[in-house]
Amino acid sequence: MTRNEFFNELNERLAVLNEMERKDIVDEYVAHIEFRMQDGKTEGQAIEDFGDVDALADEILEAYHIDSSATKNKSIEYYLKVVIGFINQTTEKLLNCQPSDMARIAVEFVMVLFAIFLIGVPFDLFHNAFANIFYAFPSGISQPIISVFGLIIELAQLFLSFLVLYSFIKIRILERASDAPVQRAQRTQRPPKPPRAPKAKGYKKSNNYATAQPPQVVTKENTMENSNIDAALSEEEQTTVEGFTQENTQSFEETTPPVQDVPYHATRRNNGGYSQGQYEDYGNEKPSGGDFVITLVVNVLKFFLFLTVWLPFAFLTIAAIVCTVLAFILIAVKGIGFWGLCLIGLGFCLMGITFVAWLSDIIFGGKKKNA
Amino acid sequence: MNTQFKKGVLDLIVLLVISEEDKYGYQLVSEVSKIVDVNEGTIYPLLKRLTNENYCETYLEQSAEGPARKYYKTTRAGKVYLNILVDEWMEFSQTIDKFIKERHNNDQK
Repeated sequence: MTRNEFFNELNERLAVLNEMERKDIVDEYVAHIEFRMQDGKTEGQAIEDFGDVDALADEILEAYHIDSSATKNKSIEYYLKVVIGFINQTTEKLLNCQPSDMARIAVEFVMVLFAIFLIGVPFDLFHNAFANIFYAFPSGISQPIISVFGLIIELAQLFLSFLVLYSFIKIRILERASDAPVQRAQRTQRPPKPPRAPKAKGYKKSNNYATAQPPQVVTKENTMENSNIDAALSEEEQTTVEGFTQENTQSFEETTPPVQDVPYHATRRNNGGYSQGQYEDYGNEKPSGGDFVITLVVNVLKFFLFLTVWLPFAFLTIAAIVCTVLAFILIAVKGIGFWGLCLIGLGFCLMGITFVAWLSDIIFGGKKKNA
Repeated sequence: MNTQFKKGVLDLIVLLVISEEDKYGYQLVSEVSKIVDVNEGTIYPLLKRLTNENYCETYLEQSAEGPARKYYKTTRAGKVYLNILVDEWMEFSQTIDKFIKERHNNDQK
């Protein structure tokens, strides 16, 4: 491999970094190769000593806390892993949560379904109004316009529904459960970090995946390490702290690349309040596809087993969900008919019963505990 | 030797090397690679990370032969971090040493 080939490839792989940072790194490697050649090696040998360019680029990106898998070309497989990872994460969280949490989630889930149903109403109204306007035109024109418009509206509705469902799972299930006491304690323990420079171009892009994850947690070891340093620092130079930080900020402005607010080691082990979920970094950890599918199947099975234990709630909830979903399908296909009404009524009844059961669990369950 | 072993102590070695005297990249890399056999290319990202984390800083200095060299220098935070790493390493290696001696002797008996 010639020098040009090497640097072209390296530059390509480091495309997320901004120009200056990239130059900084490349300059170091250029200097290294020059020195090597002075020592009597050939250019090819010097470059070979660096090993695999991909591995090298991964190491460099790691120094910037960038997950290199996010910068690689994304295949369908990658997205599939993200989706399966999300499902795994959700089921694991559900399996690990308290009965009272379970009841809360069940009730909220039914409410969300209802909300999704409500979201559909304005869309349908809009669709009908639009269709009525266009029926005035000759059918050759109006028919295609109406069907295309209908499709767009339905897609938008579908998208919105998914968004609602996704944010529900993310906020009410994943983040809430990860807000464990451990994390809260660590959050308060975390020492203030020195000021950081603004994020560089390209960094944000690659970090999209990080934002989709649950809040990152500093591991204990790291917190200790850092607080040790901070403590030692403040002891040693309490008087010069101001000068110290100022000086650092300056040097940072010039050379600092984007850095996350978390220490280096923490980024790879951001496990929330629970430890079994080795895939909660969905998409980031690059596990093999086979493992993923097995975990998914096991999780789903475990989930249904778990549901049978909490049968009173689970049965009602599932029945309510099934009825509501069936009703929606029926209404979508045939319009609101007798059976649609029946199913919706049944769904709402079951929701009501679930809600009462949930309330009674809170009231009587609490009393039991008190007794 | 196991690469994970090496990676773990590389921070310590690099900081120790530059804490005695400021070094430029190649000088540092060749010194470190004398102690542990690592891919030289990987030391630069490590230096970058230490700089990002504020444990060392860099400055340019002209040299008689060739272009300006980039020198690395530990910060005060870097020195404190180094002390912590050395303490941790000592404790760790002693514990493991002791453990190996005990078990290994038992096995041979």
